Amino acid sequence: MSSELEGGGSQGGRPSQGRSGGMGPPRKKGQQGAELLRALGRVGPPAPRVLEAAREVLWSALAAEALSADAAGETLTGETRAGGTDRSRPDIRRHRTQRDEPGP
Amino acid sequence: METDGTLIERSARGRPDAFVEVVQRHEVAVHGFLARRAGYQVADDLLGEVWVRAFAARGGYNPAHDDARPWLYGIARNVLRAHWRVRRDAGHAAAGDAVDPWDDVVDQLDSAARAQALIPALRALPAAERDVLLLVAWEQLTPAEAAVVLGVPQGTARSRLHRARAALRPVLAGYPKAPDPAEEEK
Repeated sequence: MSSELEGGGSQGGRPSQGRSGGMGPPRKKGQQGAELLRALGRVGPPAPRVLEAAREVLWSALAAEALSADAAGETLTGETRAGGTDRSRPDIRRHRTQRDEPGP
Repeated sequence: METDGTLIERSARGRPDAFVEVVQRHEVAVHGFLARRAGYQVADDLLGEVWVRAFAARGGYNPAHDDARPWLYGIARNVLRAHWRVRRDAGHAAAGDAVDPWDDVVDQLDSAARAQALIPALRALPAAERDVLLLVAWEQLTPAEAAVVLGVPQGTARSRLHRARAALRPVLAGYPKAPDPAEEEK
């Protein structure tokens, strides 16, 4: 990525050379600033259990949607369900079954 | 590899589980977005809510956008703002902090970096300009993508970014050396 503080193109303009005579690359100071800014926002990766817990919340929403779609389908006619477009429900149920099993 | 747009579109058309792959692609990035602004604990707590909101809103996603990150960051930002609003209402923060809780963000930043003059310079920026700058610097977004996150026109995002850069440039020019991440992690 180019320096966030230089902007590329014509927007930010080129920084003036240093007082020492501009021995380094013209963009060096801006790049240092960009690195410092990036360093400010550095965070470590989350624990796997955190990601799993969040996905579990999503699976709950998926299951709820599948159940409500089932209920709506039964309420309407119970006949014409588009068989090729709703293969996800078995996947959801399988996932829920696996996740509901006690862990080691 | 299928694009995020394709997966989200499919998830909205009878294959909701396709959304899980989008989540798996971006979960670390979205957690980082939250953690940089509110800390690890809050990020851990809010990540699931981001997924649920995104899943509920997937029908409105434009599948022409291959990368869902800007959209997801926008949702994460809304979740954070709601979190801050609740905190404010509960008396944990001063009135007005819900929109710009920069002091919370500062609390999460690396302690060595906090000592630098950059923090006051960032604090002095208008919140709208700071938001764009940090989306570009921290989330590695383009100005156009930052505009999607913030729900503003691209030109607005670009001009805010330009002003933020101009304001920070004199401050950053005074740094002789950027911190070395490898050294800091020792």
